[in-house]
Amino acid sequence: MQPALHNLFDQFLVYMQSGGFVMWPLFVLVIVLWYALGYRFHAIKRGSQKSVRVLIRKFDSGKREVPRGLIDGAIVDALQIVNEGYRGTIGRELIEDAFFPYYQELKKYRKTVNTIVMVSPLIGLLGTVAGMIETFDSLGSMTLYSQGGGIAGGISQALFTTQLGLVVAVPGLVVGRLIDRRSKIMELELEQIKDIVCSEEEGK
Amino acid sequence: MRNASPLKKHALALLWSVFGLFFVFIVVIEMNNEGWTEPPKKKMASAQFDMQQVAKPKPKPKPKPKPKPKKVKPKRSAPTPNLSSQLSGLDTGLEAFQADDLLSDDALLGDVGNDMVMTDDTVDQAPQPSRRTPIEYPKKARKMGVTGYVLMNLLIDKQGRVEKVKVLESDPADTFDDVAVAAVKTWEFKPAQYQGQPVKVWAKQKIRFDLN
Repeated sequence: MQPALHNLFDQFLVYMQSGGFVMWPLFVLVIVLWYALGYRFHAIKRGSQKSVRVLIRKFDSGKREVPRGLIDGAIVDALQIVNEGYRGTIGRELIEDAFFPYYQELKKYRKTVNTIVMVSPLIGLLGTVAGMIETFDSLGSMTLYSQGGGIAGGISQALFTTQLGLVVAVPGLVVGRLIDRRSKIMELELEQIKDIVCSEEEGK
Repeated sequence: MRNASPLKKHALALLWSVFGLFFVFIVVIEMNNEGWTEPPKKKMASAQFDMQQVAKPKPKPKPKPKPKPKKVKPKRSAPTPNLSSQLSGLDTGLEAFQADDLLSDDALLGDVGNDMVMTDDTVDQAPQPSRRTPIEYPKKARKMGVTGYVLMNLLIDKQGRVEKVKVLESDPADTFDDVAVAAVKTWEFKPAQYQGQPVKVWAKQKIRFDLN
């Protein structure tokens, strides 16, 4: 295991070297991107799978008390406000205030993910241009086979950076979209909670 | 907010970032892994060209083609139109165009060849050093007993002076580069010849640093 890992690390270093100066920014972007994705993945947890209406009834009747996820927590907060006697427009506004951190949580790092997914292929492209410049430079000065450069160096730089840029972007795009979809649904559900809680209490 | 504690989420996110890092780079490395043998950083493959005079097979003297008197056929009628004559056009009876005539004629080529830079494998006669200045062995390297070499690409102009120097390869890296470049710049060469004319040329020169 140890030599295999060592070999992998060696390959990694060689790869990073052959890509030139663009590789390390991309390296940092990978870390940030997956940090943001991981945070979003764990922050956007619905809790129970039951529908909003059922959950409200259960929490209201006291059958369940411990919230397990974001929607559960929001329902508990909303019911608390309503039970304290705030109704109608005032109640609605208070609930909206109480939901603000939930909305924020749903949006946290979304821009970061989208930006990195967009930018990393562009950075890869920049590396490609740098590699092509090196290639043509070495064509011009006939230093075709110089150490750590020349035609081979330039072309490998050109290809590796684009490759890394795409490999960073594509999984980030897919996973980011999946999480985005979940967060959109939950935003709608928060609205639904607001409506249900206020209307039910008014109707009583 | 009733949710998982923020600290826990950040910790999990950190784990994910480590996962992502491994994921991306393992994917990328596996993609490029075909035919992986050894890291090339140990020794960069360098192509070397040795000038070798290849004996050209002498063209056999061709038997002189017998001059064929062209018979002018009196044509009475217009040729029947067929497909091939329509495709190839009419035969005007002129001699075939020959590129050799153009090349041998200097006037036609003009000054195109004057500023051309060639490489030492395309010229007829490679440049030869005519005056070399002695190179001082770097003191530090001598003390430590370091030996090595520097391979350079020199741009030698028509007068035989060195115009530009580029280091292609050096071992150990950067130890002898400055000394070698400075020395080579003062060298003089017999300019390279192409078709009897001196030409500008990129030539390779290796300088060895050995202790004896």
